[in-house]
Amino acid sequence: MIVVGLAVTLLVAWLVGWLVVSAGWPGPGPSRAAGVMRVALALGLGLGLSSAAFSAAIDLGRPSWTAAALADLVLLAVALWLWARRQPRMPARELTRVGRWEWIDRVLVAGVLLTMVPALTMATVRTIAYPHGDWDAWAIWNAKARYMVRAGEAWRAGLLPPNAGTDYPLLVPGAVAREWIYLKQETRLAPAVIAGLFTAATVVLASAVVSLRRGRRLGLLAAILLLGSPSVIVYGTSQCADMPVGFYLLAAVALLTTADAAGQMPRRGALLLAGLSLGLGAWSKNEGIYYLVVVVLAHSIVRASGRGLRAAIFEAATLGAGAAPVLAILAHHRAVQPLGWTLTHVTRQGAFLNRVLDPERYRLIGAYFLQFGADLGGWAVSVLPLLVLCALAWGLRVEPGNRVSAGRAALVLGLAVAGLFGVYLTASNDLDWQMPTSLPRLYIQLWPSAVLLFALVVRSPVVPGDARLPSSAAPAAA
Amino acid sequence: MRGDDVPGFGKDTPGKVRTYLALVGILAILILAPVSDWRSLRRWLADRYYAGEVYQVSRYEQRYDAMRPLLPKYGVVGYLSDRMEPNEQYRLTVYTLIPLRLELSPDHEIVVGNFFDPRVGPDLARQHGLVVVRDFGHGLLLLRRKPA
Repeated sequence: MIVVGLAVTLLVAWLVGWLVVSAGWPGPGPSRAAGVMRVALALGLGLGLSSAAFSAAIDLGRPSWTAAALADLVLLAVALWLWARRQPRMPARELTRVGRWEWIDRVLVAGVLLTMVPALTMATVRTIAYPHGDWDAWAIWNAKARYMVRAGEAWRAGLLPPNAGTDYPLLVPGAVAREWIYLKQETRLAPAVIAGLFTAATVVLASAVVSLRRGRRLGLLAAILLLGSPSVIVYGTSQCADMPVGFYLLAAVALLTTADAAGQMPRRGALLLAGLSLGLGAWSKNEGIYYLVVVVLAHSIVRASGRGLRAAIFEAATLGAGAAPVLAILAHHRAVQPLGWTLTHVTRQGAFLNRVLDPERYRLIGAYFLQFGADLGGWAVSVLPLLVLCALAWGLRVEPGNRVSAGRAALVLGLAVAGLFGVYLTASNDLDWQMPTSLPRLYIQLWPSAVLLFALVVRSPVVPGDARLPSSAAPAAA
Repeated sequence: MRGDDVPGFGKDTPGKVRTYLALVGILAILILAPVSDWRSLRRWLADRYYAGEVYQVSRYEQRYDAMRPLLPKYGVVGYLSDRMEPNEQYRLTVYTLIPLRLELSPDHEIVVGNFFDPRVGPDLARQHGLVVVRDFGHGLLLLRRKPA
């Protein structure tokens, strides 16, 4: 019964996401990669929107089944209204070209399935062993969800110090509490399934957007790269907010990448959806606020250099409009209960200027960035040199149609890393404690978007026996 | 069919050596991806699972099962330990007793005593003007402020 109830409530969230994504979708309908991309986007956006609406409802009233149901009804009505006003899609052929299945593509499908076996095993074993999630999950995220469900009107008191993570936003706790309230039971299945869905949606979305823009082969490789990253599974099953915020960053970059090939009207829909994703990222974790700024800034720069300042301002405003509904909930949350910002608190301690001018801090932070960069994803060998070698073997080439997308993705990741460096530089916490405990999770938030960037700048690998080689005797595809 | 029909393929096609190098790259990813996951799983099982570092929260919740009915449902209670810091045991107690709020201070009418060394609990409680209401064993005490 619990499983059925969970499935139904999650399906409602997905339906909301599907309607909203369909309303703003810039790409083709019939293409399989586009369809899969919409399914993944709908899952993440639906979970986020239903959580945000639930949080808004309990902010106005008190946590209850009625409040959750009313929030979902209002959300469904708005989503249906948006869907009814959707713009016509562009024909499938304009965005995607489908190549024939080569032997190596079939091997890659087998590779995805083969990598899923240990990934799913690890996810299952960890979820069973840590039913309350990792340390941060039970100390912060699931604790907030418990307050929302158990404390009635006084749930906000649970956000106050000395409880941990007081300034963290509520997307993940809201999503969990919504399930618990609907099911009238604090089943451990709810946070575990939500965490698993965000992780699966991230892998599927990355693979689908790469398939759409760069072809099936690189799309399958993107899935293998993420599934084969143990850190993705570890943080994905931790029940914390790192995978959700990483999903929303990827969703924004992926939507903008898709929009780059769309016409003017569908483009506006994609920008609004990208903005919505960024807003939900900001409601997931405080880093999401920074990622919102970074994506808007990066997008403005690439648009200003290509289409002029006016277009850049208009599109930045459209991104902001997409994020506005969720940012309003965030702003209200912060206004009702001023919780301060951990970051500004730690930054004020001690001499700010001394830290910025201390060369030892640059050396230490740089060393940690390199150390954890080398261990990105937790691969058995360092994955970054592996990708560099693959890029050399396959060849580097940014297709003319992908130059804007690749430039923006590179700028987003570059600014994100630079900003994180700046935060560590100015924060007064003990770097030897803070960086090892936080940097791997920050890297994993950026990793799915980095995989997309990698796929945008390399050639799709051509292997012996490939029918695309002129010497091959294989018949041409229809 | 030439490469320009397929996304990711340029008009220029690679040479034979290049195609073999490309295949090596793909095979490296194909092999290393599942190997990385298995390796990580094996390490985690050895370092954490077989070391008993699992089900910790569930065990902690059970530890408080007998105390929970004796505590108020809402409000704020105090916390006393021989290690008065926001450590894992304190956080676990906070999580376990939600929606009660647990302040890291014994200056309350009702106080949860959670001691690493069970022998020091009653003495420490006395020093803070508290009496033991019930001893649940393993360093877990329910304390109340001594009437003036």
